[in-house]
Amino acid sequence: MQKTTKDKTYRSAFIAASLIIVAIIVGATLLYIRATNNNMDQAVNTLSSFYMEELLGKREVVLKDALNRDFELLGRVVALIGTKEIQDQASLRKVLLFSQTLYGAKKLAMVDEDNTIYTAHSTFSDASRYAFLQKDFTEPRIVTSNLYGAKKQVVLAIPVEGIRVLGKRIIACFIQLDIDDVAGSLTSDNVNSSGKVFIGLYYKNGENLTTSKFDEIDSKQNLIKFIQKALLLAGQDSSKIGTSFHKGEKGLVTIKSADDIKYIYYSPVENTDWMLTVMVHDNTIADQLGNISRRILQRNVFQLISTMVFLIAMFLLIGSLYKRNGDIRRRHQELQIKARNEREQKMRLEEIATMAKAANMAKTNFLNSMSHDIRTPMNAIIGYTAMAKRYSDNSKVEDYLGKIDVSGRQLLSLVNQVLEMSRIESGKIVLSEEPADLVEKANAVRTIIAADCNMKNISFTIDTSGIVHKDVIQDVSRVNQIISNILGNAVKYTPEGGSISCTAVEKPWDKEGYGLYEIMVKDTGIGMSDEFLKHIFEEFSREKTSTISRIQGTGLGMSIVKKLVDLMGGDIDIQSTPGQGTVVTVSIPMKWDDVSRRRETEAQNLEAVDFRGKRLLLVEDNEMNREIASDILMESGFVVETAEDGLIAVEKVSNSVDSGKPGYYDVILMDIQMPRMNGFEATQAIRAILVAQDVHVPIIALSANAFEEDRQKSLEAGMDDHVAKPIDVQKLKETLAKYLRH
Amino acid sequence: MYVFQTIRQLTQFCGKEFLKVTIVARNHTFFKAPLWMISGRIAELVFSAVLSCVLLCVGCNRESQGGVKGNVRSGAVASVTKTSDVVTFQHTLDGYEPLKGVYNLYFTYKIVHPWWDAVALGMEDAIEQYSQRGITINHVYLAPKSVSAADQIARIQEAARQNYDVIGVDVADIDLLTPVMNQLIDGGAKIMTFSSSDAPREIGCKRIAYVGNTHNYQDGKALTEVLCKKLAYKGQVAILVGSKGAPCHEDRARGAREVLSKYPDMEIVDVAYDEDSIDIAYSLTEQFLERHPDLSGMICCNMSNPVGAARAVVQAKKADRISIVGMDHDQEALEYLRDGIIYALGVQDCYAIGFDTIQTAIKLADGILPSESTYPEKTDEKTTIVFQDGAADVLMVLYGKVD
Repeated sequence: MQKTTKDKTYRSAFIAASLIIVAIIVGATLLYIRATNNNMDQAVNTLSSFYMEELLGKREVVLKDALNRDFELLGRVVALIGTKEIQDQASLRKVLLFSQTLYGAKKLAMVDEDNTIYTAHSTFSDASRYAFLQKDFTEPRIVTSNLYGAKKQVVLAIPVEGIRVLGKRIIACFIQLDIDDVAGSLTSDNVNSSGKVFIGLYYKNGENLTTSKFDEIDSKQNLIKFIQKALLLAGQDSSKIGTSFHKGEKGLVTIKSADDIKYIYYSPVENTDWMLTVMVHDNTIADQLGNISRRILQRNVFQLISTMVFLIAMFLLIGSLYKRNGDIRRRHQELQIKARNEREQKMRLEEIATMAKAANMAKTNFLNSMSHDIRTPMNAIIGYTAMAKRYSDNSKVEDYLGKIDVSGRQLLSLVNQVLEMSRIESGKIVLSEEPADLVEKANAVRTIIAADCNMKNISFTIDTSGIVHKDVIQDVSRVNQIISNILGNAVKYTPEGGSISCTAVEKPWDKEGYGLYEIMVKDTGIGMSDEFLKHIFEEFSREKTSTISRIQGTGLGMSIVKKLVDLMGGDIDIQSTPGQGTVVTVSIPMKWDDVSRRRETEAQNLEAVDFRGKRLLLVEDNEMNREIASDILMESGFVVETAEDGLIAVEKVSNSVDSGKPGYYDVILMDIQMPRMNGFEATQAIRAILVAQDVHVPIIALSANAFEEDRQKSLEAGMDDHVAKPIDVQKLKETLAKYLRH
Repeated sequence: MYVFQTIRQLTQFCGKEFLKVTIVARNHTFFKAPLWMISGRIAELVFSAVLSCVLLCVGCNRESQGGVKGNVRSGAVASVTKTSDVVTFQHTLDGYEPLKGVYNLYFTYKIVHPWWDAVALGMEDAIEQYSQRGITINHVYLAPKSVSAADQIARIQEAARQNYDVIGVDVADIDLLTPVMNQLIDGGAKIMTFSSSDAPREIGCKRIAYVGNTHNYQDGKALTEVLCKKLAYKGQVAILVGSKGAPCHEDRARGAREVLSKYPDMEIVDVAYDEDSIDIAYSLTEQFLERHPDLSGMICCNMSNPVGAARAVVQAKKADRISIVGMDHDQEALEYLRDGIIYALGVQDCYAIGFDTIQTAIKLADGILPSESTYPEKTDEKTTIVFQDGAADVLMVLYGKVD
């Protein structure tokens, strides 16, 4: 109720305001119009001369242009002939006729020094009409004269040089104008209720140049005398008009009579002795001005009405907008509340995300620490077990050691898998694409799997005949991991007497230099249900059957396989029937390798290196690992010195430099995670010392962190290479050989 | 022409109306179409047909514009009654249809002089009118700077060699030109005479036709009569002839002498040849005035010498004592006439001379010879004596001069 009353009040206010403003505008306009009308007479007088001058000005331009065009035409005609001797009249006539046709000139002629005139159709002598051309004619001229028969002759002539006809020199080329036509083209066709604008062409002595009347003034009447007479009759001063006209001045004469006022405006025509005149009657001007002012008034009224309509529309619009203002305000408040809620929700989500990140980071750090803390003792277990086996001659002890070794490796494998999964989830897996021989790798896999199959009496076949390009560039270790996982599962879940086949074929792929390698593993195992297949790639998923429950596994294998296949841009498909078997097909695109160049390089690498006498600094904080590594290296012929942490390693290098032996050590093996100074820091320090001596000592990382990104970190820290723990002796030797060959 | 056009339009209109009626009849049977429509159409058609017939009859009775008839004009010398009669500038071509599309005409005259410039204007207007009808006339109109029969002979011989359709001559010397013209005519050239001087057949010239002044002798007589009357048939008179041997000048002088010989109290005290030069006429007049202090009149037989004579008389401040009569339409002479310095001028219609010369030449070029049914052998152009009261009008007519 309150709102409605308020709205009504607003509306009334707006309407009232609109009406007041409109009234003000109307009133002001009417006052203005009245004032304008009062000044009309004054305006007419003032505007008359401008109007006349404007009328004449335009015609003067037209006339001047016409004369200039004619002079140009004459120039072109003369240019057309050029400078030549014309032998006969016929030739000259031909040229003149051609020029007349070409340029549209009607009376074109040439004059020789004897005043013989040549036109397109005639040759004639002349005593009087063109005699002026013989006298001092050096510049273009316009000459007007009265001829026998009261004809007005207007000639535009230009001097000519270089043309001769029948031995006589041509002195001029001219056009004879029809001055009545010229004057006629200047006459206005504007006819209004009172009459038209009259245009005249006169000599400066007042004689008409044409045969046309100038309004009521006969063509044979002298204009000056007419005006003087008219002024005298009207009691006006007539003394100045004659002089003004003779002098060729511009001027306006107003002749007032009882019933009319005539305005005659005159102006000289450049380069001639002509005067261009215009006559307009007063009522003509008044009518013109009246028309103009009427149009202005109409325009003003239209503008006024438009403005009023516009203002009214605006006010109505504002009023209606204001009426809805309440809704807008409410809506605005709702939106504000909504925005505030969204902001709060966003903040909460950000907090959760931060917590999740922190948790994830904590998990990653935990896993990294765990990786190192678990791997290090595992390294010791596996290492010492291997050494114990070497020195044992008791078969039972060997058996126990063998089982310890197997369990240790299984545990290591489990840890690796968990870590692998964690790294994959964190997006930290980086493929290390290197050249590899697929067939060779397949054979290696065959060896491993065959052994497991033999134990369960499972027939196992690998067929790589379908591979065309066996040399590829790919992270084959990951491919190996994939296939090993799948084959491992096949072996695990195929009962005794079953069969497993692995077939690898190469198919064409879109990218040039690439092939799509399809590896199909088929087994006659226990199979999987359709329900389980939906979850097979989920982490820690295992089908809950009595059979499965007796088989060891973490449930991470296929998750890892799926993630790795996706990382490689490949595809995996599983078809399985419970009780019958499973077919797993993995398709991975791989780039073909240019083998020949690579083999040359590899051949160099295989060259044997003698490690005897080479001094090696082993930097390892763990005593057991230090002992194992030292033994292995000393057996290979190295002179091994050790350092318990990075700081000691730096001191030793520094001492060697101080004692004048910067290249004392041939190679340094550097662990990464050490107290006081870790491997990266020690490497940077050692590099700084040795660079100053311009010496480079290979530093090889020896680390439980075995992933590609760890290797990259080592290289970024200044190390030359990276070897993973547990130590692969052969790989370590190859790596050392690479850096100690020279 | 307009009548025929009108008849043609009416006929077309009738035809269309008839067609409308037939269409109406075809599309609407008489049973279906309203009667008023058909009746109206038929009434229109009948009315149009009747009107056409009437107009056709009227047109037939109208005097034909075609046909070749001579330009017959009176050669009488007359006083001015209307200024418009002195010179007629509104000429239109006669109805003769030329046979060719292009003509080559050659004209030569006595001397380069404004009088012949006036003749040329008439010629050019005639040529322009032929041009508007699609007929091209190439013409030569040349003269020497001083009268020369030899020059004329050379010119007409050259013209004959160049095979002009017609050769026109304003004869400088009858005796010298006649045998040459005859020879050329015998050789096939078509020669006519024109403007001021003829070599008539009566003296043995074979020229085919003449357009111009045939009454120079009478002009001289008439002017002299006027002067004698002015002088009350008493006084001393001098004659300025013009060019020696020029037939028109000599004829006028001869006429003057004959008239003066009639009045015993009129005495010819001096005769001289000014060779058609104003300056020579001026100095000769000065001499006359010096030699003959009682001189009361002068007879000037051409266009230039009245101007020279008037100037000299004015210079000598004897305008009130000496009456001058002369020939032609020089603007200065007319102004002297207007101002009372010259008493009378015999104005020839030079424009008509030029206009009619072309018309005659075209017919001659087409091989049409003068006869009763074609054109006169001599086309005589008028001379009108103008006095002071007519001078202003003549000035206006000839030169557009207004006081």
